[in-house]
Amino acid sequence: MAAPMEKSTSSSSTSSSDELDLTSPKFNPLKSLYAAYPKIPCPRAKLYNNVAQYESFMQGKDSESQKQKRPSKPQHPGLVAHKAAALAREAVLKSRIAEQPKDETRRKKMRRLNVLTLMEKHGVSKGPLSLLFHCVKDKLQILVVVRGAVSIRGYCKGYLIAFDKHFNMALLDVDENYLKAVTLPKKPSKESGGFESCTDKSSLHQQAEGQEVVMEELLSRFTGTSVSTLQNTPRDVKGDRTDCGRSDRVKHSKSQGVSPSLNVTNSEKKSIPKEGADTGGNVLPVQCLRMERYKQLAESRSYAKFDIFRRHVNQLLIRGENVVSVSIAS
Amino acid sequence: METSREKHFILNTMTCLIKACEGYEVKVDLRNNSEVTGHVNHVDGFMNISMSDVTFKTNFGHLRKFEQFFVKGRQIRYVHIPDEIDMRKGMEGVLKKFCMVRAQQRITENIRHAAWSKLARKEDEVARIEKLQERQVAETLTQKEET
Repeated sequence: MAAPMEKSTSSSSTSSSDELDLTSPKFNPLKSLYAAYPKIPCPRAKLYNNVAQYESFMQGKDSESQKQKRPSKPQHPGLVAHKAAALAREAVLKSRIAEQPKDETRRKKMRRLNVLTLMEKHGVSKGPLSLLFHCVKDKLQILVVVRGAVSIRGYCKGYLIAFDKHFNMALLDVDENYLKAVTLPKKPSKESGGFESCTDKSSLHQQAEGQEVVMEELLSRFTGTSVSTLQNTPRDVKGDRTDCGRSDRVKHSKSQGVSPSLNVTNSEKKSIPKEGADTGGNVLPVQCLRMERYKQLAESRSYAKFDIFRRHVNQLLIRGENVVSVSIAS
Repeated sequence: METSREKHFILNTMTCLIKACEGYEVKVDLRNNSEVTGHVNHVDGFMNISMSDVTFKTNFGHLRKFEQFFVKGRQIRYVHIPDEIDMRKGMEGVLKKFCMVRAQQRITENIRHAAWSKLARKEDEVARIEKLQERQVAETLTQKEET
């Protein structure tokens, strides 16, 4: 390194002062780097280790300048130490006065976070909750399957008003179909009184297979209409899917022969045509069958008798714990 | 008074809707199929509800009356919101109220800070005056010694 330096200094001795000057057009950076006494325009300027540091300083991202912007927040002082803290607090107050517009925007941001804004936030992001926001925005009727202690209790049909991350849901104009035990559960060994509906071959078969299998079957059916799958598929495909699922279910019940609970009590016979008259179309009998299916399952499980009930509620809040699945009803 | 966690729940979950039902006659369905109907006194951040003048209906329709009743939030299945309440507006009202509460707290905090700083300044002054007096005493003593 030493050799070229000597050469350069010796070769251009005449115009060296010009080449070393930063402001002149003949400035030679290499020369000035190796010169013994380079000319610096303002010698008091702050020194930086590299160009990146200088850049960060110019953009205001420097650690020192940031420290100046945000003085540390004072903590609640004890009686002894409060003098220094008070001084710091005064500084904070002064800086706050200086930066009032910035502080206000921050507060607005804080204020904006609540249930309703979170809902919109979910709507923007990609996820299962974005579908729910879609339902709120477009006022779509949704079908919420609700769980009981050990089985499915029934389903609610209504218009979604608000929801949150726990799937707590506020519904409007809710039609609820649900199962409820009419008799106390009996022990199976002594008598088969509360057990009549389970004497049919199919339900016995179910019992033999075990409850887990039945549950899996039920779950697999529900996945066809659950939120996660709905979200990924466009509408037409979704409709096809659900139709397939439904026709499957009808076939299944036919293959079982006459479903046992259909002929058991009069109250059920009444409830079924009532449902059909209400909503009509292809969808409804299927839902009837679905309820019958739940009933079979519940009865096979607990040896109590269940009945299907319907009711209308204007405004309902469902706690998220009890939600099994959500789907668009129409 | 709610803790900060409860406030967070009220602001960020649907608890605010039940909070809006305070003072109304509300029916609550429990997870064991029983129903509680009564006047809502207070709702906290975990959806626990304290009620008064309650009729409790069991699974098989037996009725019982209670003067005071407390429902744990986890045991709730449904809450039937009364028709007088517009759900959206009720929620917005509660949220707004809580934001106001927050703003109030901020103001009281600022006042407290100001009080602290004033106290500190006063003590400073007292200390300074004491120092001055001590100095003066010392000076006078030295002067006397010199003379």
